[in-house]
Amino acid sequence: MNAFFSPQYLQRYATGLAIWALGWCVLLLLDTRFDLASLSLILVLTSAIASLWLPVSITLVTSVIALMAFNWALVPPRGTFVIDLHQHAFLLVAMLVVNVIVAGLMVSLREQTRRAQAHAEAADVLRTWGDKLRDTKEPAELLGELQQQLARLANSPVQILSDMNNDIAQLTTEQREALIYCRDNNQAIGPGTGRYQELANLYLPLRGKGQAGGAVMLDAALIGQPELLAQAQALCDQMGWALERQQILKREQAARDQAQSQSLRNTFLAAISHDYRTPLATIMGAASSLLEQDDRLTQTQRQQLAQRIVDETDRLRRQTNNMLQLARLDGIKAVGAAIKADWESAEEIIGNVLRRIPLVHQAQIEATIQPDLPLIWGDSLLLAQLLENLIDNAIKYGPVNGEIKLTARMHQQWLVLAVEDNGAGIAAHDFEQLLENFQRGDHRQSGAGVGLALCRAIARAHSGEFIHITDAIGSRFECRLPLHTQPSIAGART
Amino acid sequence: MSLRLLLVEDDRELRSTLRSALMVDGCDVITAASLSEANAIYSQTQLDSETKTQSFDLILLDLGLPDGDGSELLHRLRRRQNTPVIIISAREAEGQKIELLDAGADDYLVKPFSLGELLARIRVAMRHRGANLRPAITRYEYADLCIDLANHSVNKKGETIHLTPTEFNLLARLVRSAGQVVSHRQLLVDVWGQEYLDHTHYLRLYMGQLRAKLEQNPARPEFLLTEPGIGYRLLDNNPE
Repeated sequence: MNAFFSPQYLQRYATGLAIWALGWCVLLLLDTRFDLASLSLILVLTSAIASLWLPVSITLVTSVIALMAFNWALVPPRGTFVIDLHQHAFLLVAMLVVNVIVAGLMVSLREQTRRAQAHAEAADVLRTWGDKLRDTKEPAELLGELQQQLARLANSPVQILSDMNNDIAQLTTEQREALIYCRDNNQAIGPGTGRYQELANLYLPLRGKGQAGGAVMLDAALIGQPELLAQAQALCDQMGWALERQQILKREQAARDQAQSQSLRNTFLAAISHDYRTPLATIMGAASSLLEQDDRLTQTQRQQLAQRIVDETDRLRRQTNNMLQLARLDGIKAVGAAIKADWESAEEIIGNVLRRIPLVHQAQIEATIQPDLPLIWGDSLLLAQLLENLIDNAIKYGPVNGEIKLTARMHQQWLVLAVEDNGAGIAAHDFEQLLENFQRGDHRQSGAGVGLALCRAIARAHSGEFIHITDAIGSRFECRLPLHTQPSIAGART
Repeated sequence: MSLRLLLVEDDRELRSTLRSALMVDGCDVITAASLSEANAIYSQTQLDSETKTQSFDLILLDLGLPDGDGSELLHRLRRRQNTPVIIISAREAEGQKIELLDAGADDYLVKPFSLGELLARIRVAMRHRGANLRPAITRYEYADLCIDLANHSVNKKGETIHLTPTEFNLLARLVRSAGQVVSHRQLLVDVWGQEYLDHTHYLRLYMGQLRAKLEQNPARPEFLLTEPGIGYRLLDNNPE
């Protein structure tokens, strides 16, 4: 009943009554100039217009009062309620009937408008909600908003149960069990749903196609308001679909990842087994020759075979190190997180690499180190391995006794470690292929793919870049390392 | 050389290969395949040594043993005496190696290694054996370079090279362990002091200065050698 006295309604009554007042002014003004039938039309018109603002009860009451006043003031004999002529009586009755019909029509029109508006609003809320759920990557983050929307709808607090939000400890056992039952059975329960009518609250599932992604508990206030209930269920269902869709996407992604890592592993294993077979074949050949042809071999031949076994074993050792490091670094997701970093000098790293190059190739290599280079914050073993791989490749794939340049210098903000040779290099497309699939490009010898992939992994682990440039002169591989703020040497003595 | 060695290695093939190779070189090799076996053999020789039997001259120790870690044996050994210990490890980047060097191991080798490398390491370790009993190495010569710690002098091609006090201390520390790896930690503590343990950049700076003054081509050092991630080694100038 309070609604009848709200400011909004009072304003409407005032408008309605003002129209009546206006109608009566016109009526009294035109009295004597028009005949009674015409005046009665003004009264009917006023009643119809006023009923646009007034509720049906007041419209009827005011109509009756107006008719009686009309009768008293304008219908002869004036000043009494007496009606002389039959036609006047008929006029009054007709006016009453018309007024009632008009009032009824207005009411039904207004109700229809209200419903249409409510429908449009509900549809709008649902659409916005649906868009929001579709745009989010993590629908579960919107559970709080669902809770607010439902609370606004039901005008009472709402409890949500989902995989993300299981904070239902403060509920009674009955409420908890009902929530779980509702979710697990994907069915609304509680009063008005036809299931477990005796429950105090209403429980709606966040319905998906298969299984509910959760459930909500509402106050029983919504019972008897099927429109609001339908709206609440629609909001819940959209959340349920969004949760389900996300589950499916996650499963798909996991399956894709697994397939990809499986195929990567297969490529990796294929590369390994190929790269191992070659040195193993050489070792097997040399060793079996020593074993079976011993007495027919000269001392020099025996020496050569033994040397070949040593060399190929060393190659296997390097390949094994490469693969182990690559597997280790590939497992590291955060850049620079897991390397064993310390302050290192480029000169020492290069000096160490050069010392490990076989004697026969030493003369091919020319090392240039820019004076006063800053220190590198990194893992010297890994950086040495990177340079060793690049020099190894240059020796293997470059021209016989070709020139190999090893340099360390500053370039813009980078400290660059580079290996150049005057060989044919690798096409840019092949370079990417080599890195991704450990394939061997055009080269006849093996091992380059894993080695280069490791070089890139090492550069990345140092937050740096691994670059390959081929031009007319030859090819150049660069490892570009970012500079770090140099440590203070203030405490060092002279 | 006629040495009595204890070889602790669990892989049978590697064990027997090393054993026969070392025996060809004149060593007397006792082998152990596990930590417990090594412990038992070692305890036995300890008892024997009281009855004047010969104990081991050197121990070759693998780290990954089936019944425990080789480091346990090292720690046990170091409590009593300083028989040289050379670590044989399977992985290149292994923080444990540095720990063991600091805990008293004399040197390390990464598998696979050649017999030549192993014999060289054994020779260096034997030369340093009982360094605290015999006068420490105070003289180092390599090609045209001569370092004399007693006289505080460094000569190259007959000319005196001037070194700062820190440079000299660093060089002297390496000379005293010539041929052996000296870890970053040992160098920093001995030259700068305990509180400079993590100041590896001092080493980079001063080793760079030493190379610039002493090496023919600092980018290709001949005797001031770097052991990446571990320390430095002054080239063994006395191969037999």
